[in-house]
Amino acid sequence: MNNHFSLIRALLLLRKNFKESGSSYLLMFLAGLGILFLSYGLLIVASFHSMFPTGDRKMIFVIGLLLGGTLFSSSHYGFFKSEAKTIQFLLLPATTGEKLLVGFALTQIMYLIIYLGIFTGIDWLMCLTYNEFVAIPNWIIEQEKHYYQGKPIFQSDTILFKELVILYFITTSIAHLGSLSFIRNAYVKTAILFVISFIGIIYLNNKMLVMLIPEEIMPHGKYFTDSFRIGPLQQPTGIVTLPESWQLRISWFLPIFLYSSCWIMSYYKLKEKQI
Amino acid sequence: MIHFNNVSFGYTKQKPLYANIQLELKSGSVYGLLGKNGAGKSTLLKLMAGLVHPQKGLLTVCNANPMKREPDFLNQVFFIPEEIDTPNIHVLDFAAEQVPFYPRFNQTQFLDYLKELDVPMTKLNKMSFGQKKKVWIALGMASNASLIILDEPTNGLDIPSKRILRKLIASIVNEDNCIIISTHQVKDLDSLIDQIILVDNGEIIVNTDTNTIIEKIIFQHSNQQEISNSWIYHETSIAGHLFVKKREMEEDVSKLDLELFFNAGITNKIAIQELFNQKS
Repeated sequence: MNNHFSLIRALLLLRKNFKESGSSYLLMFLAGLGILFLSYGLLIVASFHSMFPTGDRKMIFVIGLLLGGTLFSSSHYGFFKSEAKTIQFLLLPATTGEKLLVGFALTQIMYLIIYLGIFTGIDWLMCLTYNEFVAIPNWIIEQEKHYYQGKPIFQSDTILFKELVILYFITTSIAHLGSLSFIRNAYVKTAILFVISFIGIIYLNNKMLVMLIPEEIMPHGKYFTDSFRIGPLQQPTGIVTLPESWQLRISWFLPIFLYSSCWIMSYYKLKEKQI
Repeated sequence: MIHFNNVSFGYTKQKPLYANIQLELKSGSVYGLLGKNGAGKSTLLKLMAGLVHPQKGLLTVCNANPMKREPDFLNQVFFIPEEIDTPNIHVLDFAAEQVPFYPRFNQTQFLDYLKELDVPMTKLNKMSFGQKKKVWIALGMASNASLIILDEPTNGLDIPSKRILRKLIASIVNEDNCIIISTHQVKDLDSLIDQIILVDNGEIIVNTDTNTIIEKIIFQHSNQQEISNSWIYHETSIAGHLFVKKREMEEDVSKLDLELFFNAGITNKIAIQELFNQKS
């Protein structure tokens, strides 16, 4: 035993976590599977006489990924409600990094892999069911019949998979930090704080722009700092855009900054946790 | 083994619980930490384990800073809290998951302790609170940690288990380890404790061994009606007075009555502190 990070000890911690919380994870898995199956199934059954639903199942995918992921992450340190379990966890001979790695593995890797696996499976099954039972109306012309063909979601070129995964990593990291910071109602408190901070940043950004430019300012663009409109809302007199190199930097810097900040804060929260 | 050097602590900065405490605990002893509800006993134990951090001063436990909660420190400390919460797995699986983290853990000892404490070999969720507590006690004892901290260990234990607990503690204490027991049930463990730490309102009133106590004070019973000024503390009943007073050289040593000593320390703090040279 030493005081430096040990991967073996981290794996032992992970095994301990699975052994002790395995039944809870199984229940969560079954509940998730049931909800996903039911909602997707209802959607498909309701679509047997219409075109294959594409937008709705993307919505189910996004809700399951983000809502499910954040709920799971925010419940990771739910045992902090019990002083005895908190004592046992904090005094278990392992480093903070090893303890944090368990949370990281579960919230950032395990959930994502399992969710994508489940969703892909259900999606494939539902496409198969739809293709088998779909009743194409007689008046549909041959060129439009392909709309009545179910294709797995990941073959669609309209889903922003990369962006969604990035969003998943960021939101679950925030939820994980919230779980460490709040003992009770971690999810609700984190969500409220997140919304307040987000609105606050947009508001302050706009205020700052107004102070810089003596005209009416409207934030505009993919990231609210990358471009803005000047002049009245009905008749803008121009759009000011950040140089392209800045935009590129912001698009990778902001997610990385948010993500790493959450995990660094989580590390110190856990290291300095008192009861 | 444990040194508190001018340590101050409070749950808020405005309301300190302990201010500049000096305390030293040595290995080879069973310490009894006594105090009223809310006196700060559990906080003192948490400070030693690194569960709360001092605001000021230097605290070293087993030559380490408990605040850092490093694995080499943590595997020397085993904390058995008052309330027990266990996962719903088999008792042996529960132990098997703890073993790799405690290099001196002895599986044979653990099984022996479970047997002695009459713990059923079943899932933890099928056990009563007392049985779960006994699993923790067995785990702590078998970890062979240098510092074993027990917060109200007899709460929830049946009468035979209390006797076995005393026997187990007596069997594991040696020159290299230290056992600290915080309790309200002094009668449960008074035969076991050889060092007393008495705390009240965040103040260490006494830190001394039981031999010093019986050398310095005597515990007696009086049938007389009148109360003597020399008494440090007394309790009146139909049968007369139970009292604590300073022992004179020529007087015989009396049997230690921990409950009476505790009440004396709480009620007449100054007299007890003066007697044990502990005025802080």
